[in-house]
Formats: sequence, structure tokens, C-alpha cells
Amino acid sequence: MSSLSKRRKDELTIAGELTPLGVVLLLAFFVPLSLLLAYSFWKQNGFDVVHEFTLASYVTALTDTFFLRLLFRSLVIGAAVAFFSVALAYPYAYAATFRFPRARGALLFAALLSMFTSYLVRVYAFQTILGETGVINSALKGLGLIHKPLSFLLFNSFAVVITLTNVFLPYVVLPIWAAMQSVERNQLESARDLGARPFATFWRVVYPMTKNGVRAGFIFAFVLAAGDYVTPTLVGGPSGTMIGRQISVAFGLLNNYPLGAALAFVLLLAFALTAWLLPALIARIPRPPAVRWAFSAPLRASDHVRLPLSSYWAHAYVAAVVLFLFVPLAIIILLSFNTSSVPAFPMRGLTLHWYARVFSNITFRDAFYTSLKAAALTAVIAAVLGTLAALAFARHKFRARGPLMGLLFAPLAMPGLITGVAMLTVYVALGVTLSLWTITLGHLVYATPFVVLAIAAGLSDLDPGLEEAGRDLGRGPFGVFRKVTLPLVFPVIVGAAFVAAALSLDEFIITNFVSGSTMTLPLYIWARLRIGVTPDTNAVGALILAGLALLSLAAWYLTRLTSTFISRRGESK
Amino acid sequence: MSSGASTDALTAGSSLAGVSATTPAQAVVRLSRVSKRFGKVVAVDEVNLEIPQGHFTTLLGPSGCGKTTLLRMLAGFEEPTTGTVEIDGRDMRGVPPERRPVNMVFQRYALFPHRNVIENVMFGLESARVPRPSALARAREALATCNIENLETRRISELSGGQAQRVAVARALVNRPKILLLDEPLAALDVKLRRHLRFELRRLQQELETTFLYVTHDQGEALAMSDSIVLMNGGRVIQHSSSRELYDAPNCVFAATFIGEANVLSCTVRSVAQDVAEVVIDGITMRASARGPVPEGTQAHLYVRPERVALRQGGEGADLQVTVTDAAFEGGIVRYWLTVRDTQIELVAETMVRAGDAIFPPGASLQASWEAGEAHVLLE
Repeated sequence: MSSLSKRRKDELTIAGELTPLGVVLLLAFFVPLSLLLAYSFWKQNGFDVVHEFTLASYVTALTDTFFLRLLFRSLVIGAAVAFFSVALAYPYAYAATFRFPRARGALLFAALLSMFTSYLVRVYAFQTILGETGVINSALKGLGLIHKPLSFLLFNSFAVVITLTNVFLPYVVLPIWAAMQSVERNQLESARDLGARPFATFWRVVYPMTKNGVRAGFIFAFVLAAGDYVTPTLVGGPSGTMIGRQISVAFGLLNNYPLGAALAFVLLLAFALTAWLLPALIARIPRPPAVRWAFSAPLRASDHVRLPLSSYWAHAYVAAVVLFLFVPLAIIILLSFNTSSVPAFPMRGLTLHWYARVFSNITFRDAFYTSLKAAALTAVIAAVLGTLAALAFARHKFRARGPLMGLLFAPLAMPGLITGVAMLTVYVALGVTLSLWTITLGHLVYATPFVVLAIAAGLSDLDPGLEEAGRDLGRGPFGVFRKVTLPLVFPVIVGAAFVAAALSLDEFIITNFVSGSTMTLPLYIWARLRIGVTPDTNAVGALILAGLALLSLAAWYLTRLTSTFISRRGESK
Repeated sequence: MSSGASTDALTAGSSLAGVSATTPAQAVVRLSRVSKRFGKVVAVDEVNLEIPQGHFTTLLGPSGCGKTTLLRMLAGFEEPTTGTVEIDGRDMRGVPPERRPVNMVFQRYALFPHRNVIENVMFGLESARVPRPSALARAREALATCNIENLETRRISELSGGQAQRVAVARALVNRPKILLLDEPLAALDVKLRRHLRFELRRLQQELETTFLYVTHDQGEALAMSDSIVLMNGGRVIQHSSSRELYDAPNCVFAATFIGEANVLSCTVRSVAQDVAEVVIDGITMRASARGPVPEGTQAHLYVRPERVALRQGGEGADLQVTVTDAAFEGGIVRYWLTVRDTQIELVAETMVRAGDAIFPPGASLQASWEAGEAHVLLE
């Protein structure tokens, strides 16, 4: 009938589905990284780069005690953030899964929502909370507990750790959460049936099944925190500065790309070493056979699942995490309506004055429209590229599947700083004018992996029998896609596009390097913050939060709706 | 709705009477040395098979025996690794599912949740670009045939299991396939509904005279519905025959034990004369029918169905002296576990009971016997 074998056709389909996204990632991520690597071996001559091989930049990066101290501090801060994040995230996911099954959806959404609610606004919120005239100090003063503001709250490593923990906590919750869901109730019941007491059940059943989630979450938080440059700049002060800030300075003020590139790769190498050593370290954690779990408490006899962590502690933990995640944002939103320009409680009165002032500002309006355009472009392009790639990953098994997925998700594990400077070097080398398009490309690299994940999940919820039925009833592969697959997963695709829009609207770290004179909303906030906190910045922050919350809600609703719709089919009573 | 091709008088035969697969009905499917390997796993192993036009044929076997793979190779979702599949005289190599003259009823129906009942049924006609008025008419006719004309605008999520099953059948049949492939279509339903739908499917097949190829692992379903049964195991066809023949004359121990229950006893063949063998089990000589050449002295198996073992109390004769080791009342029948006296031989017998009949207690001494043709010698 046809000259091509089924296998060959499949290969062509897979190639066709993966090529568009592959090209984008290649040009916008892998080529820039390679160029960055090349830069790290080139020679800096005054303000110019000479294409001559030298190790000078690496020598500087690895011998200058200033850089080594910063590197060391960054790794320590990264580890501390990762540790605190795991310490908060694990009991949260655990309590949500085993103690509050009915609130589980809401608690997962809380974690997701905070993941998608403004990185920059969070950092800036902590500046507002911890500052000398900030919320905590003014509250303490108002209560008469202190007379002089506490200065140790802000501009040091402590502030950096607490802020970064707040920002990256959701990134740790999710992998642990995912691992936790694979623990089945009947496995716990059978552990109990086989005589395991609550603590033993936890240690011998639950923990081993969730260990990989902990590891993934730890590495995520560690890499993202240690490679951060915004938080140290805004809340770190001199004693809280980190290597990321120096890298960004090298690409900015210093205009020394080779040094910046070398520092970036030293940092990546340090990450790789840690990721490699970490499993061995975790494996060394001794089993504490006789130690009673700190929170172990007698449970009500009605509890099916006997695990450590009493209901009392579980409530406390979940409440603490939710408050920690959302109170900073609530403060910004409340302050945006405050009549007083001093960021302090109690509020003097309610006003929309700051919003009016913001919208009358032409720079803000430009930034607003640029952000909307970038978000719309990112959403549409990511949805198209992501749908195609998701089809390849969800519908076909092929040898390169695992490695290709790894490549797809590489941008997620890469600190945005490094992605940003790598893209910048390409644009500088090629003389590309920085614009809305370079911004959009930066957002795509970061947002598309999420889109692929979401759509692939939607596709795998779909009974493959539906597509086979479409073929059996006379449609070719494209007809089946158009008539069966697309109508069914369309809400998921739209939901994923909303996620991409949210990520784009909030993206700052990469954007900062590839925007040139074009300004987006987060860049606008950044510019304002460098002048000093002004009350109308709260209004901008609140607007961004509102946009992100709406997009996340819509995305959540659409993807949920679809999965219940799809999974109801077929199992009719 | 069927092509109305040459009415095969044989299809009139009831499923109980059975139709021998060797009757000269024209084969609509022909598999020649078909194998399918998934990596190192051989799912289907050198299968030769002909499926007669207008018959209800069932692929039966334990899970993993290759029956579903075989079905999917006919539908076009899998290509054979080697061998040829012919449907209606055409080699199907390289023909994608959408261009094959077959339609399938999927295991969990795979009804499209974004379309209502009639839109589901019209899907195939739309694909074939049948004009909408006649497509609608045909779809309604198909709904009527399956007794679900009242569900026309119902959404899929509002259907019960039995209704969904009928919609799936209508959606496939409306395209007038040369063969209707059914992949365990009753597996998701409860027992009572399953029994009811068996007869409905069988009636439908006889009315339409369409060739049905039905996959199941449920021997009861297979026996009740089929003109002929293709028994499979380990990727091979073990036996292809009518239901009756499969039950009464299985050709190997697997066939004997997979269909119904059987006493299978290891024996040595002593002599064979005119298709009757004398065999020795634990020192006791018994007679059993033997088909084909059975060399003397061979190690073989004797098999007899539990319900063909007759039990009585008292009297002497050529019967076996047995002792009841256990008895279980199972409603209409009583099942006895028996030991042949002075031997290790164990037997199971089932007898009908009427109200007031006594049940022999464990330890009771009985005589067991069976009619000459009820025991058979199996070589493998």
C-alpha cells in the first residue's frame, strides 16, 4: 500500500513533532550556553574580548579569595535554603496527603499558586517586611517592645535565606508531593497489618518511597538559590552578597564577559559536584531505630492510617507553611490600598490613589503593554510547540525519549542568571537588537517545559483506545488528532498556555539581561526599587499578583475539569 | 445492515448445536504463519487460521495468550512481524486501520466523551464522507437494531455500562464492516447484565449475518455464543473447533482443563483396539476412547468430566470402588472428592441433587463409573 513502513512513519512523526521546539531550544539555550563556554576561555583586553585561548579568567575565578568566599557563601546559603525548604515542604506534603485528604487539592493548589505568584514581588515584600521602617520593626515599635529598629533583620545572609526559602519552597513541595502520592493507603494498612508501629511505618515504608522526591526538591532549591542574584541585591546587603551578583555585575558594569562566563561555569561545576555527592550523603543518614519521631503522638482509634505526626502538629505545620507563603503577598496587596506612604500597620485608610498614579505614568503603561504582549506571544507559541512535543513524548516510545526529555527540562534546572547571560552573549556577538522578541524567546525557553509537562499529562490521561477508535472508524492520524485528540485536550492546552502567560508575566531574571531598553512590569518594579521603595510600587506588585492569580486559577480549573471529564468515560458503572 | 451476502444456511444452526469449523463456508480472514514479537517476547507464534464468513468465532485463552494481539493485527494496530494477514482476499500488509474493512468494539468502549450518542455512531460515516442525511438515517437504523433509539442525544457520561456497550456496537456496525472485532466487550459489566448481553450479541450476529470475531477469556461466554472457538495458549492456536467439540473432545490436557473442569489422570496405554484403549492407572485397568494412533506402552492422560462420573451405593461390578473424602453442596449440584480404594487416585464427581436427596458423607464407600465414550486418552 504505502512505501513507508509503520516504524519509519512513526520516526518521521516523532521528528516532525519535536523539531520545532528542538530548534527553539537549540538556538535559544544550547547554542548560547556553548558560546558562553567559549567566552570563558577567551581573553579580556580592556573592555574588548579577543578570541584567543586563555585560562586567565578561570585562574582569577578560582584563586581570587573574594570570588572563592562568595562561591562558598553561595553554596552554604543554597544548602541552607534547600534544607529549610525540605524541612517545611516534607511535613506539608505529608500532612496534606495523609492527614487532610479532603483538603489535598486545595493545599496542592496553594503550593502551585505560590510557585506562580511573582518571584520579584516576593523578594520585594521581604524587603518591606524586614526593613528598618518595615512591617516588623514598626509593629514592634508600635507595641513598645523596642525603641530603635532592629537592623539585623535586613541586609544580611539571614534575610537572603528566609527570602529564598519563601521563593523556592514550592519547587521543593512539588517533587515531594508527587512522590508522596505513590504511597497507597493499602500499603500503609498492610504495614500496620504486618505489625509495624506508626514510626516504623513511616521510616520503612513512606520515607523510602519518597526519598527521590526529597532529593529532587533539595537539588532544585539548592541550585536555584545558590545561583540567585536578585535576592542578594535587594535584601542581602554587603554581608549577604553572592556569586550570582558578581556574575551579573561582570556582564553589566564590568563588561568582562570572559570572567562572568568563567564564574558561571565554576558555579555549574560546583552544582554538578553537589548533585553527584548528595545521593551518597543521603544514603549515609543513619537509621535511627530507637529514636521516636519527634511528633509521634497517639492517634484516634478511628484513624485507618497510623503514621507519626499528630493531627495537632499537622494543622500547625500546614497553617505555618500557608501563612509563610501568602502573608508577604497579602501585606503588599494591603499596603497598595494604604493611604499612608509608610509601609506600616495598622493602615491609615483605604485609597485607590496609588493605582491611579501608576496608570497615569507613561513608563508604567508601556511596561504594562509590553508585558501583555510578551505574555500573549509566549502563551501562543509555547502552546503550539508544547502540544507538538507533548504528542511525541506521550504517544510514542522511542530510544531517545529519556535523553530528549532531559534536554527539554535542562532549562528548568539551570539558574535563570546563567540562561540570561548566555542568551545575552549571543545577541551581543551577533549584534541583535534587544526587543520584545528577545524577551519572548527568553520566556519561551523557561515556560515551554512546563507547558510540555502539563499537556503530556493531559494526553496520558486520555484513553489510548479513543484514538484507536478514531483510526478504526476511518480517520487517518491527522484526522484523529483534529477530531478526537484536540477537542479532548484543548482545555488542557489552554490551561497550559495560561501557565506560560503567568510565567512570562512574572519572569525577571532572564528578562533583565535580554530586554535592552524595553521594559516589562517586573523590570519596572526593579527600576523603582533601585530608587527606593515607593508606595505605588505596591500597586504594581498587587496588579502582577492579581494577574498571576487569575491565570493560575484559570489554568487549574481547565486542567482539572478536563481530567475529571476524561476519566469519567469508560468506567461507567 | 450487513452486506447481505450469500446467506449461509449454516448460520441458522443454534449455538448449542454448533457448526463445525470445517464446513465449507468461505473464509473472510486468512492468517498464514503469522507471528508477532515484541522485543524478545513472542506474543503470537506461527498462527495459521481461517475465519469463516458469517460465523460467530471466538478467540479464547488465558490472559497473555496472544488473542488480543491477534485481534489488533486484524484491526491494523499491530503489524505482524512475519506472515500474512488477508481480509476478504486482500493482503493487509501496510494497510492502516482506517482503510481496513473491519470495525472494532473496544474493551472499555472508547466512546468519544465530547460527542453524544448519535454523533459517536456517525463518526465512521463522516470519515467515509457519507452525505449527512443518509448518514443520519443509517445511524438511527443502527441505534434501532441495538435497541437504543431512545438514547440518540444522550451524552456519553450519562450512559450506563450496558448502554455504553450497545452504543459501541452500533458505532462499529453502522459502517458495515466485513468483520466486527469485539475485544472483551462484556468484561466491564456485572454478571447478570453480561449474561443478558451475550444473548443479545448472539441474536444480533444471527440477524445481520455479519462475521463476528470475539475475544474473551471467559469460557462460559465462549461456549454460549460461538459457532466456533479458537482456543489459544502461549501465542499458539491449540484447538479450533465448535463449542461442543471443544468441550467433548479436547485435543490436549490444556484444552480439557481450560474449558470446564476435568479429571486428568496419568496413565500407561496397554492396548488399543478400534479406537478404544485400555489404560493402567496405579494398577487399575480402565477403558477410554482414543482418537488417532496411540502406540502401546505410551505414557498418556485419561480424562473424564466430573459430571459424567456416575456414583451409586452398593453392588459389585467392573466399577471403581471409591471413598468419599469430601463433599460440597453447591446449589443444584453436589461435588464429591473421591479416592479410589487401595490407590492414590483422586477423582472429582458432580451429581445433580433434587430436594430430599441424601448427600453421601465423607468416608462413604461408593461405586464410580462412566459410559464408555466419556473417558478419553490424551497424549499431550
